[in-house]
Amino acid sequence: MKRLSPLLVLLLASCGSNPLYLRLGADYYPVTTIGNQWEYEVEGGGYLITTVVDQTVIGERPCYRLQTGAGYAYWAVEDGRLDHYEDHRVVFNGYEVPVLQAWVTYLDFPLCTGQSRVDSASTYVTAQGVTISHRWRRETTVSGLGQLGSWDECYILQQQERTIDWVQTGGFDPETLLVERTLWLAPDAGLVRKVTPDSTITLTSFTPGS
Amino acid sequence: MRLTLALLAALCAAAPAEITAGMSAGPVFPAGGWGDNIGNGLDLQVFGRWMFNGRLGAGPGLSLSMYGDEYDGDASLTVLTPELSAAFHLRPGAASFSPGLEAGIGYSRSKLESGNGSDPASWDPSWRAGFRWEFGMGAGFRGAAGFDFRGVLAEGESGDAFALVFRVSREVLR
Repeated sequence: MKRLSPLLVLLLASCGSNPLYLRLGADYYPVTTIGNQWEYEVEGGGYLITTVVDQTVIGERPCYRLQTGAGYAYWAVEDGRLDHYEDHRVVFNGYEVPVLQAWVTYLDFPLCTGQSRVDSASTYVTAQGVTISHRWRRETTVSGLGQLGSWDECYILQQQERTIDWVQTGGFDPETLLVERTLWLAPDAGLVRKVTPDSTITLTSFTPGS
Repeated sequence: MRLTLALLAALCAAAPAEITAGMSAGPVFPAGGWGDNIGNGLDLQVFGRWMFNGRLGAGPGLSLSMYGDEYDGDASLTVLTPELSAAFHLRPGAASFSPGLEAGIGYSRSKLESGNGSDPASWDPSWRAGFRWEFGMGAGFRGAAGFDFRGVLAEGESGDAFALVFRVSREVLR
């Protein structure tokens, strides 16, 4: 038995335990509880508060409405997917022209390191006598697990979103916008940090709704 | 540890050298929040069992549980468990009525894979316990049907599940 003991110790040392089942059971984007409130600190000054305000129907689909400042976002969770209502608009001649309004999957549960998804859309809209082309692509990759302050077992997501808008009239060139984000999602708290080249927001408090 | 080994040695010495081998299969159903996005699975097990007497036996086994995605996704969870199990039957060898209990402890390796990615595997202690109804199948084979409650004692949340078990075994050495 004494001869076996070092082998046993080696075997146990090579085995890693991690809260896999906790991650599987956690809600990494809890947007389906009315009253949930996230308060974020904006790097450089200021605060941002996001609240799940109510349930509504948009795009012929029941969903949850989240308010951040004066803006609204619409989310729905169904069949293991988190869907976001994309409402893209192009400003032309001083008017906002809607170019893409659709439900698009944002995350596929369960999250898993290395998991990746790409969503894209290509639309054409005619408004005020011109054709506006809108091409959009979003790639989301779960790059790993990490700890952020007291938030443990966070999934870290890298997101790259590219939008090409083109008002197809003489004199206008296609406009390309590329946004890269790093998102930290914590179990049962959701987004705890979002980093873009322009800003960083970090969760300071999360108040669960009822 | 010495006491356990001595007890095992005494049991083996007192009993005829009878070894049973078998395999079991059946559906397994996640219980608890960890199964929100993980669907039902299939469990396969092979085992060898030293029968101390007709009623009581114990031995090593290896089980593999494979769970799929609850929805249309491509997530899968595989749980590989080397284990030690013991079984007790009230009427060993009975043609149609031999109820019994079976229990096991092991060390489970759980691995989640999804969308060409995978989370780090987790090694955790595990257990299972359940009821068996054993019956004769002819030609030396014994069949059994039953159920198991089982759990992977992982950090933060345990991976509990319920399984239906269909087993075939045969005495391979006397």
